[in-house]
Amino acid sequence: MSTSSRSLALALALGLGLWVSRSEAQQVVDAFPAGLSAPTRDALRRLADSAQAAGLPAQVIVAKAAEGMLKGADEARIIRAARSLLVELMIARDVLPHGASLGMLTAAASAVHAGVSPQTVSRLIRSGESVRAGEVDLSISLIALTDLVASKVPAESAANAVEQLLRRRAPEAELTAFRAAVAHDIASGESPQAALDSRTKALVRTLDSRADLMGRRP
Amino acid sequence: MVEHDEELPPALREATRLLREEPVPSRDWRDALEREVAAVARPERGRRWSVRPFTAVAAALVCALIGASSAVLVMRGSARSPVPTRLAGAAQAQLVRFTLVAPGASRVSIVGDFNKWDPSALPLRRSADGQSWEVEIPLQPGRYAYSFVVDGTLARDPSAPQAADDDFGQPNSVVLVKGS
Repeated sequence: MSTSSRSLALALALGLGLWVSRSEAQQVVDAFPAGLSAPTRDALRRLADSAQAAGLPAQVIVAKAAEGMLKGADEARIIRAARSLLVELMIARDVLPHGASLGMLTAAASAVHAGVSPQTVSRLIRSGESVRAGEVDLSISLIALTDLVASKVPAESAANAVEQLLRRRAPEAELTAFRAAVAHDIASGESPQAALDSRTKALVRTLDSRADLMGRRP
Repeated sequence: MVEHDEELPPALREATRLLREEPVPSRDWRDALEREVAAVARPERGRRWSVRPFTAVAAALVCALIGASSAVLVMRGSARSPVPTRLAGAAQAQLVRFTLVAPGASRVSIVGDFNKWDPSALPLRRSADGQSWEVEIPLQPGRYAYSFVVDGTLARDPSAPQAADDDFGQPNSVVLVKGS
């Protein structure tokens, strides 16, 4: 191979690489809301690139930016929210089992965002896995946990309650009713901790009685 | 090895002794061999490249670039879709019904991770009794944050869990779409 041929091959390869990365970056930029300024789009594109480089989907960053635009947030706040989301997704990925779905990943990231510690999320996942809970059950539990924390229930107490219910394989409908009942009690003036305790106790009793009847108490 | 030469007849013993002696190469033969060895050119180095180093490095660079480009192209497929896709496994879209009781509203739509938060993309239909609004959306399995837009104002779905993604001051609802 002559020197000129080698130089040409190298130039072509470099050009191809640059073209692919540039068109990829351009596509992410195009996906961001049109109303954003160029520097903000650039900052968001870098976050999306970081997400992709970490094996995380870039569209969640795009969606967060679109949500911020719709809600009238200023651009600095949009960037802050997108950056925070990226960090939470990375934390969630680290505590979840390998190959977790995007749904479970975002559910765990949302729990972290709500104030649940990564260690608590990890403990909940391990607890669920010990009773062979599927990914859907784990995702539902994470969503219920996030909802409770968003309703001002202390994160650790909420996690303990959800863990108890997960270990008893509480059906989704009962978990949904439980969550709604706690929220209702809080709205009625009960303290979040008291509402959680009384509703958890009641549901645990129900689940244990049912398990006793079926001869498979945990 | 145990030798028993003394048991052999003298003639055979002599023949055996001669056979055991190392042959002495002739002077001519040695000289010819040395000339032949000296005539063979010594190699410049013990090991040669099958390709030139520069070519090997260039080929490695080209392979790395092609590999990186392929990975980016594969990842682009998931970034293009407006609907989040699963990281693992594949499943079919589910038709998810969203309902909001809002008898006094004149226009209701839904925004979320599934439509880039575009308030004009998915309007809800008013029910026959005029009390509620609903829409059915095909969604891939996953978790989605969403909110209703009632006459231009965002409203959380009271029947669904909160997403806690309230970075912008208005919390969302969340729906989990299970695989079939």
